[in-house]
Amino acid sequence: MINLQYLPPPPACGLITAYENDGRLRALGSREALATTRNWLGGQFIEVMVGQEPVRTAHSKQEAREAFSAHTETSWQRVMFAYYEEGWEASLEEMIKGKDEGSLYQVASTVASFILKVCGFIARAQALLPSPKNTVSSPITPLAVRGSGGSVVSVAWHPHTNTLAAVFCDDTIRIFAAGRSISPLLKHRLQKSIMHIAWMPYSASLLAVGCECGILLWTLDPVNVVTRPSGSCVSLLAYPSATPINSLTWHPKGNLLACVGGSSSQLIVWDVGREVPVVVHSGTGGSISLVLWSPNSSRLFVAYSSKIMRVFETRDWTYEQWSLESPVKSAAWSCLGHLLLFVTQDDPVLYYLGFIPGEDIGGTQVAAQVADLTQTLVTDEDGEEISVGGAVRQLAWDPRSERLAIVFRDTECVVLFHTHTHPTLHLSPGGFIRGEAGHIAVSVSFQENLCSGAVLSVVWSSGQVQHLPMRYSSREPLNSSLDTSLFSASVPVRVAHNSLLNSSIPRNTSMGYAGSSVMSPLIGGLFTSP
Amino acid sequence: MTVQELCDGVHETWTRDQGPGTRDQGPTQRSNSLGCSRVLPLFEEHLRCVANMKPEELFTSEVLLWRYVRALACLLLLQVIAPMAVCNLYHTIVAQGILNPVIIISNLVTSCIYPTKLLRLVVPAACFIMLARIHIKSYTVSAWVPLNRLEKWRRMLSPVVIFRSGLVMTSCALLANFYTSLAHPDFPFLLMPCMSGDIMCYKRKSVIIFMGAYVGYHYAYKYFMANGNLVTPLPAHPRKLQLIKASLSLRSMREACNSYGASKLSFLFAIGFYMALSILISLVNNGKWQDWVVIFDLPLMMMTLLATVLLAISLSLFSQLFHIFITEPFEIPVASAEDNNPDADGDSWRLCNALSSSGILQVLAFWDLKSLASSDPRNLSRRSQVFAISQPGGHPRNWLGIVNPSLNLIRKFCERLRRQNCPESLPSVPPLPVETTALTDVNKNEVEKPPPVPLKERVISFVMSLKRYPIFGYFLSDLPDAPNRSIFAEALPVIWAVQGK
Repeated sequence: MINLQYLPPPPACGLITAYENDGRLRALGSREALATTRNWLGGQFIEVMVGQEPVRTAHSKQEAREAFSAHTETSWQRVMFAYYEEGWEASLEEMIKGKDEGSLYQVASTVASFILKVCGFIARAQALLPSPKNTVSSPITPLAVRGSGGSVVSVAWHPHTNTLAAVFCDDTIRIFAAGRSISPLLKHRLQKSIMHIAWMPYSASLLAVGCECGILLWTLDPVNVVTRPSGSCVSLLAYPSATPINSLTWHPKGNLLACVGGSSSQLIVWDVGREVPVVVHSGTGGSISLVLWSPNSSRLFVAYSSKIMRVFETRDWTYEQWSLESPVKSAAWSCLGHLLLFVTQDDPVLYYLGFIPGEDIGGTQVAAQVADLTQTLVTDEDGEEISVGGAVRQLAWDPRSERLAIVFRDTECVVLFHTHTHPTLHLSPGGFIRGEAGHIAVSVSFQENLCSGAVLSVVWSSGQVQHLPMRYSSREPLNSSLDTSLFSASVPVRVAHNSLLNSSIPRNTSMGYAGSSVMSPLIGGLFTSP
Repeated sequence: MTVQELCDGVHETWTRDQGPGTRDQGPTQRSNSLGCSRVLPLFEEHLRCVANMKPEELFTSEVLLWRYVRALACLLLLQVIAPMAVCNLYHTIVAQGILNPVIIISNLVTSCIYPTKLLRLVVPAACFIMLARIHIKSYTVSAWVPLNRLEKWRRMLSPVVIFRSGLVMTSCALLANFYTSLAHPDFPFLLMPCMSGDIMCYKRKSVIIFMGAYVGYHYAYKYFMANGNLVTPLPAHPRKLQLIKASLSLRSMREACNSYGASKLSFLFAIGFYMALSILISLVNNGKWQDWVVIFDLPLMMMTLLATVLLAISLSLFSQLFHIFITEPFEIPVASAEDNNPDADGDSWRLCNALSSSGILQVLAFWDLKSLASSDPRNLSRRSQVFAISQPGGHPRNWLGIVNPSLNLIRKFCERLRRQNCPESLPSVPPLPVETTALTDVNKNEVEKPPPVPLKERVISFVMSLKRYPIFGYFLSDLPDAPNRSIFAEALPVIWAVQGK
């Protein structure tokens, strides 16, 4: 099993990782790095610009009325205004605030106080009951909260065009396209607490935004010059028991959209064209935190906030379940849909599951440990010690499954592995991606429409978005087919639905290092059923 | 095609039709295959008949019929047993005031085997069969879009819709009466006579029947006039149990109550309307209107509410379960064994023939085509059949068999759209041949006779001229964007045809 000690040392403090060439990451000063990236990407370079106006965080909103001077109305008038503006509950609260308004008002205030106490008691009792509307218990935090104070908190590349959607901390989204000076601003009153965004495959213009009220589908005409698309460009897909949206994923063909949300364990699949939802699964397991469609569309990975994860086959929607020692934090499918990498919240270990192509689900009995990501101290190029690894925030695998980026929650370096999935999974060290001093990576995303090489977009905690070009020769063309015979020989099919994640795999028995001394080819023999 | 091959084919189709249940239906499949081999001579004649059937007939007799049966069996199980249990619990706990769990459970069990209760099941069974018959006869695969209000009213007042709505209302009234008779001893069943002097018995019966018919009317209106009878395949098809479970959720039930007249406001409106009508009738017949105030008693209101809610949920379940069973996808063979036989009938059970059919079979065939075109590796073997060429000859028959009906459908759809959007670009109608006996004027010059206008066009122009008047314009003017909506209502197979190619 590979660990972070095998990786080349991170760049020195003051330098940032600029590009990858010949399999090695190079670091430069920030200006040189930007110039190099511009030079490499040419007309395809997209600069995520933040306007001059300060971006207000969505979670530090203040009431507009606080900006105005004190009122001069009578208490009864204030109660009436509160009723008209915010309803009877606000009017009762307003009634309690008033003082020295006569005996009648005091009686009314006492009654209002009593009613509010009863209502509060009922609300507390309701909160104890399991309810889909109880959104407080949702374990997933919005993107704006996950960001560390920067204006940009996440980015998503379009699968087929040079278009990038950037989520800002004020719950707005801006669309940046190569060669276009206009960056449309997507803002809507329903677009609050954005959890996830995803571009629709095989469509130039459809962006799904999972937020508090459901899924907002933005239809953006690529040739339109409007900088602020109107509300008519939005349609809402809302399934009341599955809001707020925790995660969403498109079918690789783009006609279906799977989403999960709230504290329910319902897995909803939408026919976007007809706006028809189907609950394909609802059962035990707690709320679902992550859903991910495999690139060959035959499987759907579902991670629960409890210590289980399931993989559904998408014809009859039967599933296989794996028990874990900690809830899944992030996961990624390989380009052919036969490998799944995942990390858990507590264990700094990268796991993988293999799947037999053509079978219903065909998952291997146990998940194998691929890389040890334990937080450790490494020396950078200047000889200074720097902490890397630890709890993982996000995994990102490039569309050809040749580069794997791992973002950590507490340490600032992004780890890059070189991967090869055919015939078996190989991980080799790529290096550390480091930003400016003190900046932690918040999220990463690979550009998906490249013919060769890769571009990794890193969102730093300062709100900067850095593009990291990687020049390498691909070993396989995109979406190549997979020979099923390779798996049928070595990987046994899982038969039981309940199996524990085997953390005590005999790691040394089948680890044959081939080629480089730090290669870790994982072979099928690792999956022998206990 | 030999009989054995046909038997295998039908058996294969049937087992595929089981869909999501194939994993845990191993014994059934084994018994089927064994049975098929043993009783082959007995079914020989039947299979010959099957072989001569057209795809639509084969689909109706071999697939759809069994779907109806399974749907009805599931409905009876869900909608008679479950409401019976609810009513029995209500009877034991509320009416009899028994809170002992042992007695409650024993009552629940004995109610299922009690002969008189079982006899009563005849009525709900008949109601459900009646409802099922209406659903089977009335469902459609493309939404109905009225072009104007006249069309809407014509459909609403058509004898078929009125008759079927009446049957729905009757069934609902009987079911409501059945539920209340189970729940409370003061609510006798409709067929049981009321005791003399018990004026409340008659009034209770009438209120319950009225509310049942009221819910039935709501359902029938939604069903016939608001495309409640539209059945289209769902975006994804998990196991039927999962879909049934989802349709039994509290949210679905609340929606059903709001849709079919069992919401609070609708309930009060119906009771108020019934009261007003009854008092009016009493006044006309010189009766005492105060007699009708007695129906405002708590047990009656609770029972009425229970019956309407149960009925609304039952009808909603009926619609949803019927939808689930009918639209269950199934695989149609791309190529059959008789493809190699040049003398075989062209109407064999193949995907290309199903694509050329109509109705639910065509929709399911295009759905199958769409799933066949997906990148799922499990479809690889079927996909390879599509691109196989015939031996001998080397013709891509399977490919052409799929492409031609798909392109025909797309072409027809595009033609309809073009005709709707650009009517002036259509080729002009060739002029009618001029009669040989030309007319002449007073100077003996030949005058061209105007071609006679067909009666249909004259009627249309007359109707169009009526639109100028407000009364007729209300009924005859086109509803907004109705022609386009009517075209796009049939676009689902077209979309799947495009996605499938």
